[in-house]
Amino acid sequence: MASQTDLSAASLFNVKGWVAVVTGGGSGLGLVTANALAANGVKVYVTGRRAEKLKDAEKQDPSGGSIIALQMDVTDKESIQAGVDAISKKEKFVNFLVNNAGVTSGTYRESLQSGAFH
Amino acid sequence: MPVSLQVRIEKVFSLGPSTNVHKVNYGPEGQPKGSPAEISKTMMNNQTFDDWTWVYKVNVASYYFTSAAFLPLLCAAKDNGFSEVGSILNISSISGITKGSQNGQFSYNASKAGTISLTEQLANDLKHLEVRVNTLAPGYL
Repeated sequence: MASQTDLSAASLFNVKGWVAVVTGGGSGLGLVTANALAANGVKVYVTGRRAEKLKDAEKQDPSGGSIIALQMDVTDKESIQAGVDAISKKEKFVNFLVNNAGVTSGTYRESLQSGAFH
Repeated sequence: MPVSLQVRIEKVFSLGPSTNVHKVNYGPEGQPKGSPAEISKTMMNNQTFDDWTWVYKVNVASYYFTSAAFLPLLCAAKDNGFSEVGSILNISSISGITKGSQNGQFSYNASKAGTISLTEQLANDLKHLEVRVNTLAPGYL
């Protein structure tokens, strides 16, 4: 059985020193996820297609965590592999991969607005 | 009828008589309304094949390839002082669980259901590597 201290919330949820990757981490839910991880001592690589948006996300957190921008297109195998290679040059491991990058589809409403019913 | 929907419909009709729209294109639960021919037209015009495959490419296929590419780094965590290998979290959506299309988001909802299926398959097939794969289904943000 785990020791009593291992069962404390601080221990159970300890992520300090982790390395994480959050795809689509430059905005929205991905950015919030990256910030939450960084605030708890995680070095987070945020990936996305827009370099400028990613640069805005970069930070060094007092907890020791940080956010680092890495341009990577998740719809392109070579770009994904290049991203893995770039991280491999700086890190020996990754503790957490968050596949977050996503797109939405149109709705009937949006079709109406765009005049698709003409 | 919700006020916003009424306003939207009035806005569309204000575009002029040449604008060929149905009086009510979707009901309160998002289902298309009208005659079978009108419903058919609404659904056919809603999206293209490319719209469908693009949503699937980003929301499902990219998660597969990204997960596969990062496997060695994830497994290396255990060789570098951690008690467990790394894990994967796939962001799906409540839209991947809902039964309706939410006003015609057929391709998005199907893709997010696909994300959930992909997660289960990866979790199953990678369990011998001890890589945990989970999915989270956020609601409206």
